[in-house]
Amino acid sequence: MIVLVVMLFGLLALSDFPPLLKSGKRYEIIVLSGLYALGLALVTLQVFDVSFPGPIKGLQILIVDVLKIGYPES
Amino acid sequence: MKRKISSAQLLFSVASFIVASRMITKVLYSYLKQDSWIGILLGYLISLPVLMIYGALAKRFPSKNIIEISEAVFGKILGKIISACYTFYFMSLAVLYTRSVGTFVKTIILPNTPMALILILFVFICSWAVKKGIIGLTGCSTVLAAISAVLIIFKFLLLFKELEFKNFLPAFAMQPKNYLIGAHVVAAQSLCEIFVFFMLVPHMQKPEEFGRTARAGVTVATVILLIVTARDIAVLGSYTVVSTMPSFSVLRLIDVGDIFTRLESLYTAIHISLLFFNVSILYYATVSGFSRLLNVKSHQCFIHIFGALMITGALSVFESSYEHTQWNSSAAAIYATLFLFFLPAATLIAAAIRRLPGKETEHPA
Repeated sequence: MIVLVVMLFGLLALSDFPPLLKSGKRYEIIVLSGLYALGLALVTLQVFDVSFPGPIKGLQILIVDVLKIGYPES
Repeated sequence: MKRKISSAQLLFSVASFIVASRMITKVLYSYLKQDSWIGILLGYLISLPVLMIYGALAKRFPSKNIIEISEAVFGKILGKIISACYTFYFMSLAVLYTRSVGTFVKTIILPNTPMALILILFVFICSWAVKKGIIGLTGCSTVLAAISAVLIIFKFLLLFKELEFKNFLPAFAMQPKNYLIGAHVVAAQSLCEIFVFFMLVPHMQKPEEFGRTARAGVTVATVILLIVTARDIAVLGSYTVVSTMPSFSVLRLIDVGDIFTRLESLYTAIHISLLFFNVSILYYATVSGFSRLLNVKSHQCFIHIFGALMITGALSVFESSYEHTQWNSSAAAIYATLFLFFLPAATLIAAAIRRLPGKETEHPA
């Protein structure tokens, strides 16, 4: 599975990076590399069934449990 | 000449966008039951002043999207923080809608297919649409809105013999608090979500007409939502509360002379098409917002990676449909209110106090 994921990301990178490298857009390459690293890390965690806290769950806890401004269940 | 979005295209886009978000009716039924139609009317009324705020902002800054407006009004640092919040909001909506597609397809059509595969295929098509350009996509909305409206009316007529008007009784029987919650849910999770179209304002032929067109689109969509909700209540009665997908359950009852039967496949097709439209618009808003935030001229290079992030987010955001329903009914409307009401209102007030845009920014040399 992880090989498949790396291959998919490789394919995406092959379509995204060459035009940027050709035109020498260093800033864009750095930003895009950061996003690819983040994406690959998250997908790898998912492939290995490692659960990580999502922002939506965090927001739900903040709204419902911490701030107590969520709507009651009907 | 560069193609621009006409007011009519925006109107249909807004209507299609809202009609796709009709799964909020499930939340509405749980709070208002047979009075859900009142929640839609109240939601429409409270969304009108919010839409006026959007209209006033678009009139003040006709050539700017919401990210550019925030930076112009709040300065570089605070403006960037607010822009990052908007981009996060668009991304979170895109993830939630993508998740809805995955759940819907897995439950109804392909129960044995892994959700990852469904989402990869779906987001691939959305990324292709975003790559080809958002203006073409808004052109499709006319067809989508027309087909949805015709199908809804057609299905309403086919279900006519199943309608039980006593299902609306007792009317006005809920606690006042429930009507307020219902109205807020409709406004924040459906009608005012058209805020995302603020990212398209610079691509409009007449940006100053954004507010008026958005109001017209919301009005059309409200009528469609009312018809759908009234139909569901009249046909299903109290079953609307327990059904996971009331609109889908209603269509299973259609059986006219063994000819018009199993029309739920039509619903499935149009529902997925509408969700494709929503996700594509939010996808575009996310990548264009992100690239504007980091001062990158073209968003094209970010399309693929944001698609991958959306898939990852959609797969991990909830562990079950129950968690999704809980989010929708307890926190989603409150979360959306910050981005759809408070931040735009603060932006408009700050722009008025600072007398923005000044003459030099209004007519650049």
